[in-house]
Amino acid sequence: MLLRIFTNIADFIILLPVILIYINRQYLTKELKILSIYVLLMFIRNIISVIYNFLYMKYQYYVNTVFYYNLYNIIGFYLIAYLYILLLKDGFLKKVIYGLMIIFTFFSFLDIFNGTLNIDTSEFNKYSFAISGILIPILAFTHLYKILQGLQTENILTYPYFWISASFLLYFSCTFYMYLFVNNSINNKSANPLNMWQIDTIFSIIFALMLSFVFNFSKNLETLKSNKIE
Amino acid sequence: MNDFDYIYVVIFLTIFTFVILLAIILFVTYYQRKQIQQKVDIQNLKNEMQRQLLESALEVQEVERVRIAKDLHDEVGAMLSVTKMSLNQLLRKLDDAEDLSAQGLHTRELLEQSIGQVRRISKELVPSTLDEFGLMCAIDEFIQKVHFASETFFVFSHEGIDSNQRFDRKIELAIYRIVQELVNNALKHAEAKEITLKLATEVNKIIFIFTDDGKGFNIESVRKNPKSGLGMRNIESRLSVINGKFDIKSVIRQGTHTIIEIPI
Repeated sequence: MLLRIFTNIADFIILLPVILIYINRQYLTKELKILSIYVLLMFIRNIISVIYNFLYMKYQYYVNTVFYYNLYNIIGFYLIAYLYILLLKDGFLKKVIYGLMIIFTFFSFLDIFNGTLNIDTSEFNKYSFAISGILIPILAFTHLYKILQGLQTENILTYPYFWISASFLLYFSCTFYMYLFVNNSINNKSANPLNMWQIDTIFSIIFALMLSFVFNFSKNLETLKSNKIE
Repeated sequence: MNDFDYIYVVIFLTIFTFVILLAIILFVTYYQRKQIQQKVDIQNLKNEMQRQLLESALEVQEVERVRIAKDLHDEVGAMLSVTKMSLNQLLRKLDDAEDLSAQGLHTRELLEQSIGQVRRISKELVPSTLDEFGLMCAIDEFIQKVHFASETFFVFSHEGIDSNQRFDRKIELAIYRIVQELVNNALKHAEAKEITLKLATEVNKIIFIFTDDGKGFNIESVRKNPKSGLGMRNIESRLSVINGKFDIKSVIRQGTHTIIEIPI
């Protein structure tokens, strides 16, 4: 029962950043627009999950949603990598990120051959989950370091770009290990991994709330921009 | 994965999450500290820049005073002296004409007065005594002059400081100009009858105390008034250049008490 409540909250909490994106749409910078696409991707993924869950509950119609998670993972990484290309604004780091994207593409291809594009697949991506789980926290760390060097904003807690990296750092670092366990248990068919999803739902809720802060404080970027011009 | 493994995973994840959260909290704290430090640094830089600007402005002012004093003494003064000599020659030739002679004598008196005034202005603009004999002598000379001109009673003491003791030129000049400003205010606005000046040294600082028995004034209203507060701001700016501070207390109909502290 508790798991169901958490799962429902995790699926629907994504509505909060989506609503905030709509409310603050005129303040969205190019970076925040990229993040909005990522949030919408999560929203679509959750809707699919909710629909299939409903079909299963109502008509015992079972569809494995792993395919959507795998697809979301690959597209999501490219969006996040591009977001950091925009955020880091550093020629060398941009080249590094492009390099990382190429590496990620290579591993994604390995996953595709292993069944990522098979809609009935019941296996999580072997490599791309792990690669994105390692690379995204590194990018988030780098960005936080850049923020610390720049000291552009007076109150860091109302700076949307800080919340982007803080949320990515927390969510991807913590879920990375979890995915490793889940992947291992599913792929080896050793045990029921359902217990692990309880943890994922908690992190998803925290992640969505932190992303809400990003869009809630998006208008502060306007103030920061005008202060810079002055 | 059995329950035992699951517990270990949960414990590990919980610890890991706390570590990440702690890192984020530490980041925020460190950022705010760095931000505050940056603000302090910027403010210090601004203050230092302002101090340097003020210092150069005062230096320019002093250089300009020297130039004016030199021009007055060397050119206007010399010209007036030559005019006086020429007039003396003219007077000798006009011995017979009594009316003209009287007129000539009167003109000479006016000329002598002009020469005296030019000398006085020239000396006031650049306190040569300050450069040659030091602060104590310069203040002494200044208050004697004012005493003769205004009949105000002065008490000047310098405890623990020798009459010939010298300080940094900037400090000496600042104290001298402040004395001029305070004495001028005491006579012009407060109509003081008695003025006490006291100079003393403590560990690494000079203390200057100025007291008058004048009318006193409301410090706040003077500070707010851009015209009447000019003298006070002038004192403040001179002191800010030499990192000095001043405290002024004034009671209506009882007089004004000013304490100045300058680090040495």
